[in-house]
Amino acid sequence: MSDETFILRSPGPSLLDGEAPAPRAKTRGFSLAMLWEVVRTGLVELWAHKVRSLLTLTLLMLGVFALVVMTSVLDGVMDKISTGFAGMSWDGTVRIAPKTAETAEERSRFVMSPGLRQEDLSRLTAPHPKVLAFLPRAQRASSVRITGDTERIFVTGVTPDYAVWMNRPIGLGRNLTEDDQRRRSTVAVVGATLAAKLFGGADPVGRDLVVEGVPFRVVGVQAPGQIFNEENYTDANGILIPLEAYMDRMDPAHKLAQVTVKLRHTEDAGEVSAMLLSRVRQAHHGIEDAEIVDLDAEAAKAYQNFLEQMHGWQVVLLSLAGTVLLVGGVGVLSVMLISFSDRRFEIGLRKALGASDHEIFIQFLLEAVVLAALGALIGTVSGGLLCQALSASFPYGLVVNPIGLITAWIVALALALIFGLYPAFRAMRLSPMEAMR
Amino acid sequence: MNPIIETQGLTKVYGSNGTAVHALRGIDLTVAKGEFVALIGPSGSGKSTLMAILGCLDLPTEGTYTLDGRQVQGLSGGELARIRNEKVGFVFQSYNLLPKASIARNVELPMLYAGVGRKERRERALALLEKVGIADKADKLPGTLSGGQRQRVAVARALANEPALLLADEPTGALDSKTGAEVLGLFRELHEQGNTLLLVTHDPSIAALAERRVEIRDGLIAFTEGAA
Repeated sequence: MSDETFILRSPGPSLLDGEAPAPRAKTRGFSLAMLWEVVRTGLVELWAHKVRSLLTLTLLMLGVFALVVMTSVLDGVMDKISTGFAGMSWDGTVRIAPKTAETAEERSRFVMSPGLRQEDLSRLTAPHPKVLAFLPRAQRASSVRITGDTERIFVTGVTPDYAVWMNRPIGLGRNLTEDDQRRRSTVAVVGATLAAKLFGGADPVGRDLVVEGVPFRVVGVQAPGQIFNEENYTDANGILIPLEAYMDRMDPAHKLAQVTVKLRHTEDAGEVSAMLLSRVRQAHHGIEDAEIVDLDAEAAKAYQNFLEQMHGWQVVLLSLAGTVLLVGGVGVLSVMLISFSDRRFEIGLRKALGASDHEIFIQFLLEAVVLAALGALIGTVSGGLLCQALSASFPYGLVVNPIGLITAWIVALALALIFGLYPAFRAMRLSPMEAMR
Repeated sequence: MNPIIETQGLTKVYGSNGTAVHALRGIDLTVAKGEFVALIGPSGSGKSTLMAILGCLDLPTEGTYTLDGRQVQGLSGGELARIRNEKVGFVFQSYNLLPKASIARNVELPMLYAGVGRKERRERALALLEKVGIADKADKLPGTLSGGQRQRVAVARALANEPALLLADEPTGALDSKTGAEVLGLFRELHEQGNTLLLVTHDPSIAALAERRVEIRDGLIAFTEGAA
C-alpha cells in the first residue's frame, strides 16, 4: 500500500468521520447559485460545440438583426418622409385657385368673369403685412421633341421667388431670376426626372428645349427630391419658366392655375383667406369664381396614403423576420435534442448526485434560453452597428427602435422556451440508471 | 447498532406479464452503520439492480427498503433525488466526472444541489480534495488527471454531503492493480473512520477486504460470509 493512504490521517476539520454535524441545505430548489451553474454550463456547452452553436445562433441572430434594423429603418424612413412632407412647403400656406362652377346659377355667373388671370395679380398680390410671399403659378401639359422623340412634359410659369419659398433647390446651373422675369426671357429650369429622361447623364445647361415651337434655353436643373404631391411630380417632370414668358408664349388667355400665399403666421390663415377672396371679388366685379384650397386636408390625405403603404411594408418585413426567427427556434430545438443525446450520461450523473427532475428540466430549458439570448445579443449588436452606419442617410440619424428591439428579444426568447420544452422534457424524464448505462 | 440499510422481500420486475424479467426475487439485507460490505456476483445476477435500488436510483417493484431510518419505497422522484443527494455517495467504475468542469466544481456538484452557499461549497470541496490528497489539482480539468487521481476526485465528491452510505460500483475496475490498491486503501481508511461502505465487485480478492461478503445469484442472496 502506498504512503498516499496516510493522507487521510492528516489533521484538519473532521469531514470524513461523519461525526461533525453536516452543514445542511439552506435552500432547496432552484436558487441563484443553480441559475449561475446552469448559465455557466450552457455557455461551456456552447463553446465546446462552436460550429453547431454558431449555425443555430446565425438564424436567431439574423432574425433579431432583421427586426432591429427593419424597425429602425422604417422609423428612419418615417422621419425622412415626414421631413419630406414639410418639404412640400404646405405649412403656413393658403392657396387660392379658380373655382369650377357647380350649379347652374354659378355657371351662368362665372361666364361673366374671365377667371383667375395674370391681370388679377396686381390687385391680388398687393403687399399685405401678414403675407410673406404671393406665388402665382400657371401650368399646362405639353410635349417636347428631342432627337426625333416626343416626351410629354409640364410647362409651369412661376415667379423667381417660387423656388425659394417652395423649397425647390437647384442641382445644376441657376434658378430663375428677377432679370429673367423683367426681360420675359425664354429660359427654363428643368425638373430632375425630366432632365434624366431627356439628357441622360449629360449636362443640359446651355442647351435648348423647343416647346410648342418656342425654344427655351436651359439655365438650370432642379435637385432631385422626393415626390409627395402633384406639384412635386409636375415640377420634376417638367420645366419651370418665368411667368411672363409663359403668358407671352404659352397662354394668350393668361390663365393662372393658382396663387400660393405664404403666411407670416399660420394662425392668420382665416384672415388672409378672407382678404384674398375679397380681393378676387373686387377684381371680378363681385363674382366669386375663386376658392381657397384646404391644403391641410390635402396633406393629411397624402400622409394617410403614405402611412398605409408603410403599414404594408411593415407587415411584409415583420413576416420575413418572424419566419427567420421561427426557423431559428427550430434550430434551437435540434441543437438541444443533439445536446440531450450527447449528454445523457451527464444528465444521469447529475440526477445520481441529487439533481431533481425539475432541476434538470429547468437546466435544459435555460440552456435553450441562453443560446437564444446569445444569438439575440449578437443580432442586436450587429443591427445597432448597421443602424449607426446607415445613420448618415437619414435626416435625424437612425436610432435603434426600442419597440423593435424588445419585440425581437421577446420573440427570440419565447421561441427558445417553446422549442426548448421538448428536449427539456425528455431530459427530465430520463431515468438515471438508463442514462448512465 | 442502527441499520443503515434494511430491506425486506425486495423484488424488481422489468417488463410486463409475457416478457417479464425478474431481476430481484426477494432480497432481505441489513447493513449496520459503519459496516464494510462487498456485494459480489456474476453479471446478470441482479447485483447492479440491487445497487441501483439501494442507491435510490430506482424503486423496487415490491418489498420495503429503509435507508438510514427513511422509508424509500413509494417515494416520488423529487424525494428520491433528495435522498440520493443527502444520504448516498456514489463512486462509479468510470469515475463519471463532468469533463468540462474543474475538479473543484465536480466535487461541489452535490453541494450545489443541496443548496450550500458558494463560499462554503468551495471551502468544503478544497478540504475534501486535501483529504484525498489532490488539493493541488482543484482547478484542473478531469482530463488532465490520471485514472487513480480521477477516482480520488470521485471519492471526494461522494463524501461532499457526508452521506450515510457510500456506494462504490467496481471502483477499481478501470485502474491498474497498483492504483487500484491505493484507491482500495482509501476506502479502508474511510471505513476505519466510521463510514458505511457498500462495494460492488466481481473480484474475490477485492471482496476479501470487506468485513462481510454478500453474493447475489439469480436475484437472490446466495450466501453471506463474514460477521453480520
